[in-house]
Amino acid sequence: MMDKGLVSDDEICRLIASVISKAAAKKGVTPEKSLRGDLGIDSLGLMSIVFVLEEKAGIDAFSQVERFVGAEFVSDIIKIVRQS
Amino acid sequence: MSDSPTIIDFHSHIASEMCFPKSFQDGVVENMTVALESRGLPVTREKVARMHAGTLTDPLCDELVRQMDEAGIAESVLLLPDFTYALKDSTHTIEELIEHHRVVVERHPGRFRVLVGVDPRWGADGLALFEKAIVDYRFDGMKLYPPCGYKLSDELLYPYYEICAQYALPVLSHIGATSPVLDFEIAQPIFVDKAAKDFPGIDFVLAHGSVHYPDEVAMLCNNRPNIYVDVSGYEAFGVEALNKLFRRGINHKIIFGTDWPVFRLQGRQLSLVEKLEKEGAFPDSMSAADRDLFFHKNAARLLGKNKLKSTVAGTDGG
Repeated sequence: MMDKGLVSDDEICRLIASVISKAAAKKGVTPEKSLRGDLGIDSLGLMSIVFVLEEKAGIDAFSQVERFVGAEFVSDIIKIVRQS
Repeated sequence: MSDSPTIIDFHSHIASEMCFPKSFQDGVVENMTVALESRGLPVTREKVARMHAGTLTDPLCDELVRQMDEAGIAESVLLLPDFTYALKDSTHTIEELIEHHRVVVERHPGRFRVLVGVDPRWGADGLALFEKAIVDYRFDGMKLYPPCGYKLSDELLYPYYEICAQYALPVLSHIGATSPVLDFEIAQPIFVDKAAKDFPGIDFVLAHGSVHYPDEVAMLCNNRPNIYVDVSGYEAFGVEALNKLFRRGINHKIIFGTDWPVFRLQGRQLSLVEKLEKEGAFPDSMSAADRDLFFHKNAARLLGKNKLKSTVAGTDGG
């Protein structure tokens, strides 16, 4: 598990890319991408992101559920990780 | 979206745990957990349940109204299925839930209508409660949920249908699968046929008909003048089926619906509306007039028949 303070934006993008479809990941996961519109993330996709961030980035993701529900962009996810 | 909202969302719910018994939610969570585990993720049911519960955090519909404004949705029809007879872990009675829906309608004037469900097995008290919701609260029709254990043509429902026929109110029914704690087989669309034939003055709307039993639903819409389909569920299964539905000659029967908050993890209402265009839901053969029918005119036509509202408001027929 990584130290969340040391997790870079690129690393968070890489973790997100690891759980979304290959086609979406191939387009590149960057902070300005929208989760649904650009990356095609569905309900299970969003849940997968939360689980992988908790496991790999060491955040208490499930205390931030409402913020994840409202997240629109990759940058929103990065912000949640930073503030967790 | 549009500067002047015109869309009518014919299929939504109040996003609150009070409306969905824990056993119902547990079934949904079970399916999600199985899917997530298959991806090799460190999943626990408890955490999936917390995530799911995060979608049920808008009991007064304030957030929904914000999202409706963004998406150009003028009105949403709140559906109140009565799970309280079939699922005994319901935290509120159906009477309390009806009262809560009334509070929400009054909190947001002009933004919500309610199709109210009362399980037909509640007997005379249930029927009286339903009539009160229709006549005193001016709710707009009936919501049925056959997976709770009754068929749409069950004669227990006929007294309810008599009331709907008297005031020209629509009846919307869930069809197809749902939380695995309930029955699926009994929720087939063909069971509406006898009721639709016996009550030609009632418009019956089959919910999720673009994704559950689409061929059977299209057949019913084509051949019974008073059977309609709402498309909620397209968010989960892609828009290909919807594109096909729009090419079946029943665009005067197809009604827009989002099923809020079921797909809340999938995005805001705006993105669910935009997804239709972006992912090719509308075939080239579909005219602008057909789109108007889909997004609001079909719904307005059904809701506008309400004799109670047209009598009182004069102009409030749609």
